[in-house]
Amino acid sequence: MSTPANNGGTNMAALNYATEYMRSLEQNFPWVLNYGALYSTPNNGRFRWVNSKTIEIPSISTTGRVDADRDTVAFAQRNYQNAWVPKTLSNERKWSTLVHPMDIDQTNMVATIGNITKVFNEEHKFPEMDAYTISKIYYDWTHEKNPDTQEIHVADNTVLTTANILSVFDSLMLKMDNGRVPANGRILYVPFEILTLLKEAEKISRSMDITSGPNAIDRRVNRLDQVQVIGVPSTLMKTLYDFTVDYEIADGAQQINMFLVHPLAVITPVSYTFSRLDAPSAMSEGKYVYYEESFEDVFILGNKSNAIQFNVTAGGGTGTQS
Amino acid sequence: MITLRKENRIVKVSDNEVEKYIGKGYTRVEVEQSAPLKPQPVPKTEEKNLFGATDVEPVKVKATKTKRTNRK
Repeated sequence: MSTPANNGGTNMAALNYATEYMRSLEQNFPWVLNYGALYSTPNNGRFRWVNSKTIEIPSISTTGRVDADRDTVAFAQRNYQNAWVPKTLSNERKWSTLVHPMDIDQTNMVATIGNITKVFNEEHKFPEMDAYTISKIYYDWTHEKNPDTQEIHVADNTVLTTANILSVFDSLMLKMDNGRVPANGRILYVPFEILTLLKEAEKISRSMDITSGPNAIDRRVNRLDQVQVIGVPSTLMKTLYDFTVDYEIADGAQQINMFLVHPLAVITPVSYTFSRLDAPSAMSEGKYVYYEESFEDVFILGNKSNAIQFNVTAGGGTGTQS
Repeated sequence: MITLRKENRIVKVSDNEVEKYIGKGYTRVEVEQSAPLKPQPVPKTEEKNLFGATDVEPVKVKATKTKRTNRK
């Protein structure tokens, strides 16, 4: 508190800088789009829109070769099949708010539309989009057939330890190798708990390399260097969410411990986005009205579903053992 | 509230919204019925005497008749 004595004896009005100039917000650390690489997949824009909510993904299959015959002429026939797989968007979300002009003044410009939408994006919209992306990819993948074996994909359920984590990761990479997935561009998403486990295992393996000689390089550690490893909060790596309002982990959700993906295997189309701020009017009883809506979805491409692999454990917690 | 599911999505909606969501492809989630609660036996309370010892027969004090004397 300032007094005439401590402000030089003049009778100036006291300034409380904390209340007069504090316009920046003290919020929790913002969420980011953890699966950003999947939102910018080159697949977006490659496929044709049939209407405002359906895209069609084309594919062609052909038969194989047969023995030639020099003595006869065989009938020519069509030996290829053209197929269109429709994907219909269904994730339509909205958010809106009213802001009274006097609230903006009386909160000293804290409750501005800019600040409000920034907090909404960073604390609600981004994590909700991440929750939707991971759970939708998992759902689609577990209902899609392996294009090579025609069997439904099943996630690896090994409980991870420092002793086995590199082997589990190696087996996921091997499945991708056998599925002819490009080695370049693979991304491994893991909860931070698993990231720690991975680093510990890597450290142990590298020290073993040194003690056992320079020629005995652990192949599994090399494989880890081939992928981009991204840590994600474990709450955003679940298999099922409740999207009634915002998002929350649903009962019965499983923990995804490893999500190995090549972005070419997913498509994240956005059909429609709208956001608008209306000035105060009689209809809004003198308030600003902000409204935004988007119509989007996430799909996997069935023919490239081998470029997605999961390690999942039952229950809410991260499946690790020390 | 009614719990509905579509693919990876759970929503909890009021009764009058159920049809709208079912039209969008949602289905009802069967809620597992928990087993009915059985009445639990009430544990016996131990009789304790003043010093905390258990299984001690409460001391029965018989009322003794006193002779009434007539004083003059």
